[in-house]
Amino acid sequence: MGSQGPRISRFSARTRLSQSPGIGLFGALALLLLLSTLPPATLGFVGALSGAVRVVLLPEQAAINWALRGLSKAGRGPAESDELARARKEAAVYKDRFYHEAEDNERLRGRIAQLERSIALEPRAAVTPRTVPVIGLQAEGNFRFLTLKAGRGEGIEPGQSVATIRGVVLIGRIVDADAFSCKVLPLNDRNAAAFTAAIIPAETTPDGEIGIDVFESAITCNLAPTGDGLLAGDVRVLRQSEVAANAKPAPPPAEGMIVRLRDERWPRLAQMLIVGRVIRVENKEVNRPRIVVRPLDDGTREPDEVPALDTLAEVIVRSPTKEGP
Amino acid sequence: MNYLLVAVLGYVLLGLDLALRPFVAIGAAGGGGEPMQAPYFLLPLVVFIAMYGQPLPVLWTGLVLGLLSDLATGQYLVHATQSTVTIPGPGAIGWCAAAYLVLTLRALVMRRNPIAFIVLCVFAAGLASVVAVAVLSLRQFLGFGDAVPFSGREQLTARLVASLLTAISSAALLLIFRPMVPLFGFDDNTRRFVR
Repeated sequence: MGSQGPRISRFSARTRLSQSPGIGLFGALALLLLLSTLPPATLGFVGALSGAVRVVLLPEQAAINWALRGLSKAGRGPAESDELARARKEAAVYKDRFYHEAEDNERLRGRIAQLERSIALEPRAAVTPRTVPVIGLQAEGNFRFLTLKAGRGEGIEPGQSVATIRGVVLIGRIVDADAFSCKVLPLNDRNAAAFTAAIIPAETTPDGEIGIDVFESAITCNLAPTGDGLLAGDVRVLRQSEVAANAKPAPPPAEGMIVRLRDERWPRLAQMLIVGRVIRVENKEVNRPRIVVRPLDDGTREPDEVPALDTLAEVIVRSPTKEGP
Repeated sequence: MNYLLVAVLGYVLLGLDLALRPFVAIGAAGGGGEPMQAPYFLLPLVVFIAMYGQPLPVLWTGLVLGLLSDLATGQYLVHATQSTVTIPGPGAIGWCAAAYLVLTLRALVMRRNPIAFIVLCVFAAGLASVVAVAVLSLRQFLGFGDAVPFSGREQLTARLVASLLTAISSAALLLIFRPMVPLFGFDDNTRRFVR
């Protein structure tokens, strides 16, 4: 009889548990509700789980995107000739090289000034460009992003790497990366941070003449996404007294001018990359005009030929070169 | 319930949610900041299972598939750091609520009627959207709204449009799910009345 007691009690407990089997479910729901309200800093471990899920889904996602891209290509007209495309690419690369040299030049001048004040110099950051296939453009949560088929294994560093078209037109910063894929936050996403940029007037001259003097007198502007795929912001026109003595005064901002990134909050390897082209100037009469910029437009194509994010098949990712052992 | 089949279908449909939704989205090329207005592909599976399965496994299935959906697609941008954070929960809790809704309503509808499945999918997706936005709003109310920019009205609008569009995907998926009823291990008892 004595041994019957506990047996009945165990049975009763099991019965109770089977009668209310939703306890585990309520517990799980409560845990998830708690996780949903935790601050971002405490949710780091979820990022690893999320990365694992996305890695498992990557082959299927890539296969579907490849098939869909094939279908959309088949529905499009003939592409431009290889020769023209090559010439455009070459011109863009040379122009980009010039601006990087100009930017380096200015930075070196600053360094000399620093040396004179006995301040140690930082080593020059080396850039490793990689051609990376695009998996697709997606929107989830509170932002829109481009998923690329390259991850930390290929040296992609969130916050330090940027995605570009042909290595010269800036698409955006890489904000997340797992082992095999990464996400690019486009410059024009509504929740992307504002940034400063330089408007280079010489790029609009008919003969394409570019000089260091115009670089020095470049107009700076603060651009922010407008929410409809464009960028807009106020322009700070330098007064003659602020421009170097031998430099030409900067012309006022005008439609067609090319805008390049010049922001200390971005990695060095992204500086002076093309942000887009000015398509509208507002408040021209006041001292602080406002410009509207179409991103991804490097001025070499007609407005309707500017590539859209959802049509990109591959991009060039610029990442910092890893130091050897 | 055949959990292996649920896992395989879940994998395929979650991949479709990730890859196909951007291509069929309406108004996805705008400035971003809100979810895609595109039909859901995985949620109709939860609804289908909820129409036939036992209550508790159905609720767990909704929770697990919702959590997987959160992990795969529930990333949010932290504005200050311009980095991402995955928030697990809004989808999982929403999908569990959607499964519960279908469990409650399934006695009132004819399971073999395709319209019933489509309407339940739209209702379930709508409820899941409302719950998910409520959870995210609670998060914002508790003080993390500054970290993750979030507009409840825009989120709810986009998600409810997506819920309506789910009628299209659910109609297509029903053609696949219906012949699989025996494979799922469900008892389609309405057959006994059909000659």
